[in-house]
Amino acid sequence: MSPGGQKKLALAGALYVAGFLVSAAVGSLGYFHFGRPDRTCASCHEMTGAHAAWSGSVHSTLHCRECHGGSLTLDAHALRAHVNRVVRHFTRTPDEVIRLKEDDVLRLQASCQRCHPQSAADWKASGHASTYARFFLDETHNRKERMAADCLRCHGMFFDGDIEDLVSTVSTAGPWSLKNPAKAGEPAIPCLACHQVHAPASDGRSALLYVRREKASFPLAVLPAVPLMHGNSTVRLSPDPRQRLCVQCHAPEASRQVGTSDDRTPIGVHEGLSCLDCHRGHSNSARASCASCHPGSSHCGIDVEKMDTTFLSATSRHNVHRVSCEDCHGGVRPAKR
Amino acid sequence: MNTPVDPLKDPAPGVSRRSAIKMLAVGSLGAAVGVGATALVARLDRSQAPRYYFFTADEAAPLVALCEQLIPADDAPGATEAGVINYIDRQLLGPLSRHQGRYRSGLASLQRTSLRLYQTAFEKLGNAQQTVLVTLVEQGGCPGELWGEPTQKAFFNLVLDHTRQGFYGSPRHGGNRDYASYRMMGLAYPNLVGQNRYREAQG
Amino acid sequence: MAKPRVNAVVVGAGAGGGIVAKELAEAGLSVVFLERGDWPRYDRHNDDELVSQRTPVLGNPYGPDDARYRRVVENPDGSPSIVLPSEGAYSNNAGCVGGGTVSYGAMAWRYMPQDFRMRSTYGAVEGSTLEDWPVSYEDLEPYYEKAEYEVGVAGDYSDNPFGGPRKKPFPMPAFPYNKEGKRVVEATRRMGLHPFPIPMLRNSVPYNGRPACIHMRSCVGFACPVDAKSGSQNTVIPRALATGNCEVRTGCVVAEVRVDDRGRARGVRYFDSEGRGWEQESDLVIVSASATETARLLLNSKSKLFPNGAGNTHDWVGRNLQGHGYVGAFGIAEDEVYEEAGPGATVAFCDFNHGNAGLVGGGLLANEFIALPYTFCEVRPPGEPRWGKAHKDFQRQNYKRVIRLYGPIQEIPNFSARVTVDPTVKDAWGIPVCRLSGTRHPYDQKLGEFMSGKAERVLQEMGAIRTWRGRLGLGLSGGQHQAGTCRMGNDPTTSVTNRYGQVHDIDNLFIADGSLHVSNGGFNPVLTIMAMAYWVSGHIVSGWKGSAFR
Repeated sequence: MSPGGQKKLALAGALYVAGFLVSAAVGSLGYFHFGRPDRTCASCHEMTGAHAAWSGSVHSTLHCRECHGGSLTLDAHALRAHVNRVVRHFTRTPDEVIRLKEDDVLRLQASCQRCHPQSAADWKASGHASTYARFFLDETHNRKERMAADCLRCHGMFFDGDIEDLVSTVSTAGPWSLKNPAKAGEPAIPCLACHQVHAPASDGRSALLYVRREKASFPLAVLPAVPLMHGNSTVRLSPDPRQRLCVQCHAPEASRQVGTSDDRTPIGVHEGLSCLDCHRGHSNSARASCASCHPGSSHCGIDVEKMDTTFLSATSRHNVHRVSCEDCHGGVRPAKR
Repeated sequence: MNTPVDPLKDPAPGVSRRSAIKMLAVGSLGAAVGVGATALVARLDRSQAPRYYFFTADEAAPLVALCEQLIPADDAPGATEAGVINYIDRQLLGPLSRHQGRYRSGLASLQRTSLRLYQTAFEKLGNAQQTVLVTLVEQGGCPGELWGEPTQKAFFNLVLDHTRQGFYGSPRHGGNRDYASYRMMGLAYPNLVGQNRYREAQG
Repeated sequence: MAKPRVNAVVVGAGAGGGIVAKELAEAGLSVVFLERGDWPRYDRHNDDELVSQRTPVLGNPYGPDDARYRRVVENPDGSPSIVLPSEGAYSNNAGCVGGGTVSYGAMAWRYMPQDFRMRSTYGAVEGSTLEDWPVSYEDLEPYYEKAEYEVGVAGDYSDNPFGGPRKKPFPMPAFPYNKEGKRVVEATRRMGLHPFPIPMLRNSVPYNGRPACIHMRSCVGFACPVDAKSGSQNTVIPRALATGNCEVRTGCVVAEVRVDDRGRARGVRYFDSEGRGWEQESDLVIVSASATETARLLLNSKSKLFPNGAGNTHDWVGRNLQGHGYVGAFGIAEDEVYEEAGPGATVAFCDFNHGNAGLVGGGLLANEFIALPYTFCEVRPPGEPRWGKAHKDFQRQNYKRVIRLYGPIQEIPNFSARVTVDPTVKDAWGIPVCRLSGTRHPYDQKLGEFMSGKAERVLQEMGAIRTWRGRLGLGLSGGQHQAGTCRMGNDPTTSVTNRYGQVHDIDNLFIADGSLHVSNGGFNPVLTIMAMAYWVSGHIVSGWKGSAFR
């Protein structure tokens, strides 16, 4: 054969081999991308826990790749994570419990929003969508009270690091800046703070609490119903288990006296109501809440929304969480009509 | 990085139709091999999740029974449900690795003792018999020649201590599932922690 | 390799070292501060009972670690055992910036005037090296005050008639009594005793830029998530750094104090966090590494004039290792007394610290810190089943009803309770490790019996339906309250340093930690370590101004 012919043959051979290899690779990755999880990634034991939880969850109709990216998803971050995990599996150094990094948690938000646009929009407009900059660069607050590790318990619970890694100076003197400026616009209380995509569908409640200290989500069923005190008497609490989640961050002082610190548990005429009786889940708005009970169960027969309470004006002396008959009747209860 | 050659979309100039068909055939074959091989490998490697990382199944069975004797289930979970064995198994490959040999040897001695006294494996004994045997081990009352290092008392104390750790320690170490022991004792976890000063700081 | 020479090297960033570094740096000396551990970070271990500085069964959250450190403990039969820092016999305190003050319970006691005059008050005790301190309460009073203000103590002594005279009140109001504490107050008052709130190195109100206590259940043994606990890492060390004269080098393990042929300390040899060896020359060396580690360092610092170790001419380095026997009684109350407000210890009384007929010394009694569930497994009356359903029932029925009235007793120093360096076992840097040997003085058990009887009486007065006493073994004392191994004294043949913590014969080598304590009081020792550190620093600074050390 002529040298040119040999060259041509070698080229063709190389082309075939390359074509074969590429196709094989695409085929293999495709298998992982589209295959059943228990036949692919979740066949490794470190994945089985997450997989089992997902199988029993309300999101079990979604394939892993929808949220975590698949082997053919063009996402460098996800691919790197997958490759790392495979390497660790075969080098026998798997994580005991697979956890999401904050990056992953924030990326997942986009997936949440695809299917739950209304909830996402409501959340976005709420205080719970506040950013790292809002929480950690508030000068008035920082000057008065020193930041601490405990801030991250409710604000930035997924942050990978200590408070010293987040803010330039942990002191009341300042100046304060975020060590990683990119965090400024990131939400500090993301969806996964109160939700877990793999949570069981059984009880119809999707809320859980992410506990930073444990790096795990606690279902409502195991969250403690902590008795609160009003003076010497025990406050009647709503049986709604979601209330237990709210009070974890909107918590009273160690004395467990109602209304101390950031506790908003209702007493007075609203005692026994759940936060969710008035506040909507994602927006936290209580704007339309009065009408669901009043005037039907009102004792006064007047328009409660026009009464002088914090519902009408945030500066009112009569906090709607604590308002009692005496607030309006000057210590004298009128006889029932 | 070089762009991979896709023979379908981008036939090299001067490549004939026949070559393209050959290419397609090779590609399909490759894809099939890729999918097939992967499926096969995945099936081969389909490791049944090992329940334990340190213990063999033969060691785990009597240990599960022993821990459940130490902290039995009643209306609150016992050692098994709380994941105590999971805790011990994990820690023996971590901070408690110095006790590996004691577990191997002690569990074998326990099993020997059970077979000698009852002709039955410890985990297969009835609850009452297990309790009797554990009491003997605690008090050092089993035939001494069946126990080497650790001694029966030392082994009992070791397992008791680790069982308590697994039952009452934080779930992050593999035991105390959902803080079951805290709930049993009426302790809130996560606890409510307020911050005394928030509103004042706002003002 | 050598680092640029500085005025002072301070070894160990705990209760004593932090204060010395700050005082010297503020006086204008250049200070290098060497600490084997790291800065503490709450987030790494937070509220985990199994990785707590009090129950480090899976490791010490604030050091040292099991991988690189070990010690040798001599068994009663003389055979050696190697022990790890996570095991009780290691007698660990801590290894991090702040040392034990990061995770302590933070009781802030001044010793009583008699505690400095034990020999004059009680005479000699057979088999004991009991002696008077070369300093008095009156000498230390201004330094106690300085510690209370600069580090931050909440307290109120108006109901305590036994404390030594004080010129100023506490800088912060006392913490209120908890439910259990209130009952102790009522019962002890009925008995004619004098209960009062425990002084605490913990903010009862915002103080010095740090917030007030949020009452974590997991407090003692843990760092504070809001930094309300006052330690050297969040008070004096930041102030030392703010002067610009002090550099903290973490992860640095000091192997020896270099002493030249003329008998002067030249500096130290140490390993940095990467394991590289360095020489750090200095005009002064101050060792504040805790009673066990300070003794070890001195013993490992051999030189031509002092072949048995620095300060060890008369074989006193490492002797008289003391801590505190903890003893008292338990009672089960009829109803729940548990209150969800940590750390739990709120009330104490000092009626039995001194003046106990026929006895030497005594100790305070206080209601105890909250015991977390794993620790509580050991809280049992004698003979109570340890496992099975009975164990569970005890846990759930009595966790919130058990009251512990406990306290540290003043130990009687024993010359044979000691730290030496092991001839063969070395740590990860090749430095010979501590070898602990001896027992406590048998007298301690007698005192323990007396104290637990008093505690049980109070519990009975409180109406406990069942009470039992704790007992003290003979085992070697040390641990978090370790002290006594480099005793200060006026006679160079029976002590290691003079009354200013200056090592006899080595003018520019100082000690500033519990090692100096001649006896250890019937109190938690940290505030005294702090006051002594101010005292020693004051002497160094005034000598420095007169160029005594250059």
